[in-house]
Amino acid sequence: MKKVIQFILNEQAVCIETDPAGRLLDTIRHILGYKGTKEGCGIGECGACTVIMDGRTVNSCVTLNAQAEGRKVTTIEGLAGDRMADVIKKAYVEEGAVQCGFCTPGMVLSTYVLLKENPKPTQDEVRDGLSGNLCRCTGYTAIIRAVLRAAKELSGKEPEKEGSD
Amino acid sequence: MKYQDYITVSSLKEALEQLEKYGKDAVIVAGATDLAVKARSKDWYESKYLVDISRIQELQGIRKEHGKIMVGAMTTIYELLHSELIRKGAGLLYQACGNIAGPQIRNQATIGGNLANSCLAADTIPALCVLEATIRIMGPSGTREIPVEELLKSCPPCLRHEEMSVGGCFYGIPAGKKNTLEPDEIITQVVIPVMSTDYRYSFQKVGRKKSGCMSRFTLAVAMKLSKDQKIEDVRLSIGAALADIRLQKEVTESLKGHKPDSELFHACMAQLGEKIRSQVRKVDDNIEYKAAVCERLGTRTLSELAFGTVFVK
Repeated sequence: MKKVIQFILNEQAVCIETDPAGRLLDTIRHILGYKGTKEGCGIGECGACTVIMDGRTVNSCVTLNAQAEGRKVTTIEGLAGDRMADVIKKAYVEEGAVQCGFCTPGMVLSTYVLLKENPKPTQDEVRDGLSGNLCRCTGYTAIIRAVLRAAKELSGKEPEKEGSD
Repeated sequence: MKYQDYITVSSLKEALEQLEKYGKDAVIVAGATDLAVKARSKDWYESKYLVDISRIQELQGIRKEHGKIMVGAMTTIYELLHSELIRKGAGLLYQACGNIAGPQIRNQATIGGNLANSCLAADTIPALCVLEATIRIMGPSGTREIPVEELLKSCPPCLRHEEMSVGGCFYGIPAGKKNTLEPDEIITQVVIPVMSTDYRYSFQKVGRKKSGCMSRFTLAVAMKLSKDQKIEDVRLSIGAALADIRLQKEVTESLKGHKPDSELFHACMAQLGEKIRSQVRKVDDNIEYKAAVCERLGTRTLSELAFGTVFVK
């Protein structure tokens, strides 16, 4: 069964005829071609499929197409050129917080929303803010360092020069 | 997923029309975080009409009315966690919400959905029982209001579904089977009496990880001490360990009127532990674990509430 769904994806108006109860993840990846959003678990637990919808992160694998109707959706591709996102991505790279990279789009999106809501998070608040994003490679330490580093730089302070251990 | 039709309604009136039309074949869609997973593992909804109530304005919002907090059923867990009314007036629910899944799910999942889904591991339910909250329900046959603890039906099969991974849930359509709702009824509001500041409370969750996991055991308790430091009132509810979720009145009746005493707390929680064990005829590791957790975590929580240190997660 198909219905017309209209929403904004990465600042572009989108109008598609598709299954309203289909997964937003599939629409993003296969109909609209944005492959940055990944499928990890498919049951809303790992966060690899994270997108931002009306300012908040959601798991697109448990979001129905109909729920996106009239809403503003941002995938990792949509953050390209955003100054804050650039600082975050640079911090991830510099802290060695990217290994296989599969969790990274979701992590960066969650980091983005976390720092928008809480520009000076404590380590615990970072852990909490990223608690919906699993990483099997890094053990999280480098990721947390990256988020704190980005927060410092965004608040106007230069991050301390230190090698990643 | 296979289904008959997907209808997004924008008002309660429209919703009622659809529910009247489809009756038993209606399935309500709110945040869909559970439904979307169940739909992938089995064709639960093949003959059903999905009625999406997420856009209904009347189901949104949290407000105070005559000493009660009125929470629209479509209120997300995120919104509950960012509400001063909830944080101050229904602190137990606030604590419960912080334990639910992760941020992405909390942004989408709703309190109405958590109730209507009626999972034994649902975190809001024990908290709402202790808060003595009620649910307002609407359907073609009229409106009604029931205490939260009358929502769930006893469901022993669910106890065998340890950790209850959503995809394997035995009840793709909980209405009527897991709860006392009819398939053509909607939860419209949760009504929570503001908890008096005389009460100390605590919500505890045990799961395999610090976050993002199904509860293996939950405990919600509120206690009021009288001026002469006796237990004037205590309410307690546990989740994910018994076949339903309600106030454990036998436990609390034995505590009322007494001076707080760790041994008394232990005796009561051990009694509740035995109730958990009595659900199975032969030794079951998961039940044993939960009974032990109930006894020890329960005793510790009651002691910490009574003797002044509040155990905040």
